[in-house]
Amino acid sequence: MDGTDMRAEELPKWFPYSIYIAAYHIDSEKELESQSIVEKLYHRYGGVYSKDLNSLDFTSGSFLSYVKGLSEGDFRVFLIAAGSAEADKESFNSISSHEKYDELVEGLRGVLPKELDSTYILRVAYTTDGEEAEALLQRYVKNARGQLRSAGLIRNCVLATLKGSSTLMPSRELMVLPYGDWETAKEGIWALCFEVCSLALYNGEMSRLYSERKLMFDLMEASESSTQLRINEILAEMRRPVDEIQPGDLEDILKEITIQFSRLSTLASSMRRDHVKARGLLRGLRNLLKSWNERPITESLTNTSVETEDFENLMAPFGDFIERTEALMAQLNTVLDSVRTYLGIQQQKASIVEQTSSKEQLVRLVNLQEILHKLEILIVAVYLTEMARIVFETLLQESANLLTTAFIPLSLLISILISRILHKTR
Amino acid sequence: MSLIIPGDWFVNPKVLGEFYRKYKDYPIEEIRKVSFEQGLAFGRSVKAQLGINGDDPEAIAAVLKAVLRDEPTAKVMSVEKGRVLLRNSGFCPLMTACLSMNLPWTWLCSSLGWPFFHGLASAVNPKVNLTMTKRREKGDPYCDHIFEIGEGKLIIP
Repeated sequence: MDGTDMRAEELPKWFPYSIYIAAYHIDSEKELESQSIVEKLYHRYGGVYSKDLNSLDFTSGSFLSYVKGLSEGDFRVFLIAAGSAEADKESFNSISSHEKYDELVEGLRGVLPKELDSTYILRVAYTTDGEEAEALLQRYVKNARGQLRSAGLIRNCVLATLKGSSTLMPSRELMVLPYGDWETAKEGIWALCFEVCSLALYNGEMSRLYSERKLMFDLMEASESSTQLRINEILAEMRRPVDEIQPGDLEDILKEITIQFSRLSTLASSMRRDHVKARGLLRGLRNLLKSWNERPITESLTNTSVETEDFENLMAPFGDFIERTEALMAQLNTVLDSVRTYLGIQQQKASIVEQTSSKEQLVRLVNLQEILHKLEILIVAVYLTEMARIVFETLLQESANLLTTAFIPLSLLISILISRILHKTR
Repeated sequence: MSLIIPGDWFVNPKVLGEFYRKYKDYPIEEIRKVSFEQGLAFGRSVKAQLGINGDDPEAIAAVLKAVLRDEPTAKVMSVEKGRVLLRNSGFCPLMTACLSMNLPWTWLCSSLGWPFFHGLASAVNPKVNLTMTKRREKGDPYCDHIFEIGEGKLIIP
């Protein structure tokens, strides 16, 4: 994230009591850049403005204020802090001690866009030791009639999250109670501020990704049901006897499956793309929270576990959507296999019919050949008899007819013999 | 800038992406008008090709059925009491395009989808009204398009 490198920047020397952090997406063509927001505040309040660092440190009445814009791709994180140079003696027993700072921050928030993707409100109080910090936290929660959602110890600082209204956009109210050395506490609180900025960015990006896909998640059930219904109809159609299913019907089914399959495949891969993006954000969030090395206090859950769980809950529908579309694709594959099997059976049937018909043709051909063969023998025999008759008529005129008749069986035998010899040589 | 709607927008998510980037700031009424004209021309050609006569709901249903023959997610559910109910459920082309190309669903349906269907039916009867009684882009489980003879309006409640 640009601008988070604290070494490059001279951070305020005063102590922030009220901090507001917001992350939002910008349409680079339309939205106001955070640079111009800081500049706008500079023109209104004056102070020390750094264009390069996109920050402004200024005084408003008796309070000190600091605003800073950070950017990461199409996302902007805006930090607004109000505080004083001295330790505020008033304790958390009196919430009014923060109201004055809150009011200033509230006024500055007006410059931000209306559509935010995540917000963090931090109220800070300095304490001398950890025990006092915990006691202050309990008193504040009791007085504010709030409920503690999570709490933990991060370096020398008690960090607690209050239960808020559950909305789609992550909106957190944090209590930050640094203790120990005053100067170290001041430095520590600013470091934590920038870490919460990163947290706001991860949650903001995830929240936006989720809200953009929420309609798809909501409609998954109905779309899945109607697709399932159609798959069942197709399978019922496929259960009809093979002879009743025409090739045209199979072609229509194939076309329909191809359309459904390509859409499901597009949806699954698009959702996978988002899921991968969400996993990347989760890795960043985990690394950040790991660096906190948060230790539990009281019986509450730690901020680390709650933040991770919330994030994973937003991520879960992405995985579910992919699984459900893939399950439908697997079913469509089964239908496709059935169509293929049907086509195979029909092809096989056609081939059997073809084979039977060619066999019959062959039998007819063989029969014809046999007839021709017999005819051939007869023709040869006739020729032989005729030649013998000519010979008999020449040599023995009187008994020529008798001899010719007697020669007929012989001519047939000779003809068969010749035919066999010829066929053998062939 | 003259508005050109690609002829295959209802089957090609890629052209929808390009179309959105080009015309997202264009007046929506203008886009609706062109999409309506595209549906009207398509409806007229289908009507002539299939020899569909008459201007009653049965003829409207016949044109819709012919156009949506290869679309598995759209189905004419009923033709009764002078009205045609066309239902779109499952994973329709616009829903797929919205997710894959990251496009605004409402914008696509209201500027392209519904006017196109209205144009198709108007090829049969120019007085037909199309009322979108259920819309998935606002969270309904399916889209119900009701066609009935009226004043020739597209009604999006």
